[in-house]
Amino acid sequence: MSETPESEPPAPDGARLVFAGGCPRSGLTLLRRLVEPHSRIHCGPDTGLPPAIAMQWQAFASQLGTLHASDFGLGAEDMRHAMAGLLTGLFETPLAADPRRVLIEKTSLNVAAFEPLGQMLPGAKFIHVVRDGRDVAASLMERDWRDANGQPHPHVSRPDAALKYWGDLTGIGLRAERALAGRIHRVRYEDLVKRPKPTLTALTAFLGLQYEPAMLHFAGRPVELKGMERDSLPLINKALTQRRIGTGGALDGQVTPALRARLDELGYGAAPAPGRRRGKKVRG
Amino acid sequence: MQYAVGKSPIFIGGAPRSGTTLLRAIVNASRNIVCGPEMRVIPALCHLAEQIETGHLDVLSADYGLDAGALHDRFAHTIDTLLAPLHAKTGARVAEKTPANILHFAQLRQLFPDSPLIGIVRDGRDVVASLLSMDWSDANGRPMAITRDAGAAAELWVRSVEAGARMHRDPNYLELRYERLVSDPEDEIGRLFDKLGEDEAARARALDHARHFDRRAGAAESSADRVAQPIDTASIGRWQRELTDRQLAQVDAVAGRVLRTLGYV
Repeated sequence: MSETPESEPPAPDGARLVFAGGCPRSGLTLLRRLVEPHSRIHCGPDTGLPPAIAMQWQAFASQLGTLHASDFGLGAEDMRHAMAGLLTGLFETPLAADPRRVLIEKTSLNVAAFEPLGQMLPGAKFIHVVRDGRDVAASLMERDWRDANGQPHPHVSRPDAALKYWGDLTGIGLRAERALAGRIHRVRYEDLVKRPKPTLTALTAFLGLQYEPAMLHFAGRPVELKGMERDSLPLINKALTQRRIGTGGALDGQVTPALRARLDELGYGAAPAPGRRRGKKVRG
Repeated sequence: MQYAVGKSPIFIGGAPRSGTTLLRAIVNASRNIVCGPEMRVIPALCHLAEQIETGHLDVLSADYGLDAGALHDRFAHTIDTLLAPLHAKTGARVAEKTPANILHFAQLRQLFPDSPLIGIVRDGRDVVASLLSMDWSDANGRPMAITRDAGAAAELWVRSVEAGARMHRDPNYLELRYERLVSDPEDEIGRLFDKLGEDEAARARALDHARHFDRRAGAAESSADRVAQPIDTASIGRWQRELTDRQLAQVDAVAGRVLRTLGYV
């Protein structure tokens, strides 16, 4: 443990930190490819850390808060400050390199912790990435994701479980949109691939930045995908395509009334036909 | 980075019901050290640090400029922040005694290279007997398995003892025995206070710890009332009165080898 590093960590309010999240297979890695070329955005691979730290903070606060206050003089704000400092400290190096830079952390399950992250870091912003739940479920069904015991997760084994998984996570995300109004921006996968320039313009404006044309020229830019990002490898270095829209149309018959309402709420009506022209390229 | 409580807070750990609360009372009596009741956050933070180091450090290092040393600094700083109010209130050197700390002593050594790490070991059969008399619940309100199942309790004891044993080569690790502490407190407290750099006056106060023990602090501690009494040996061998033959067989199946290694059997 060193006692005299060059500088103190930044104030732990999460300023310039952005947490992107959404149901897995909704386009988080595509989002990374599109924002990473921006000169003032740092967006690396998933770390998985924000939800873990936010949920640990919640557990400490809810289970031990009274004990900490009475026996340690440790108030709720002290605990928030400590855990916020831990999370921001893990990401301080890229931010310290350029005081104008924004860091986007894009672990998909950030969506499950948007609200506690928002409470822990009042200066942080959020990006909720959504995609048609039928297409998400179809993509999930192509995964070979297993639990610690080697058993396939239900949400990659059964279409109904995959659809429910999407419904559960988008529900959490929509609740966070209401709780964090003004600090959270929704991005639809379909808009990213159909209308990338206006979609990215709106996103960068939300982040206090200008749109940069380099964002649409990601395909020639090398990037190393890590962890579950590698599931997106077959598509991620190619030009934007609409051919993944509508791939889950066959699952429409398994959509429950509650999920139908959710699809409607997010602007997804009847199942669209899959993109007709294979590899159809989109210009901004 | 400035550390509010200094570079070397003291960490105390051991299997639950091994005498960690008695140790807390003893070090508090020194007046130079303040040891609160169980804070219960350090094992969780160490576990998180271990998970990050095992599963995420390659990404953090390559893409976020955070190497293992910097990661340790971040977690050490967080723990320091959490201990700071107790230090600010008393001005004393801080000790933290959550029993499960012992499971993470190796990680704590990475975070705090100069900290004394104090482990305490007690006969696993007495630990199991004591655990089975507890009414502890988990976060969901369900009884904890270690208070209902002799085998589960013995497993935790073995894990705790083995975690301590992995520190035996660490020059700043000290392992105490509960049985020696209560039967020859002068000698065992002397070993402890030598390690902590405490003087003769502190040692004398510690031998009379019950006079100094504040039972109002740590209302959640199961042993507070017991520890408020002078040291005695009444709890040595309680397993002979409290464990059934079946429970003893369960303990032996899980912990027999370790009990023999430690000379308890």
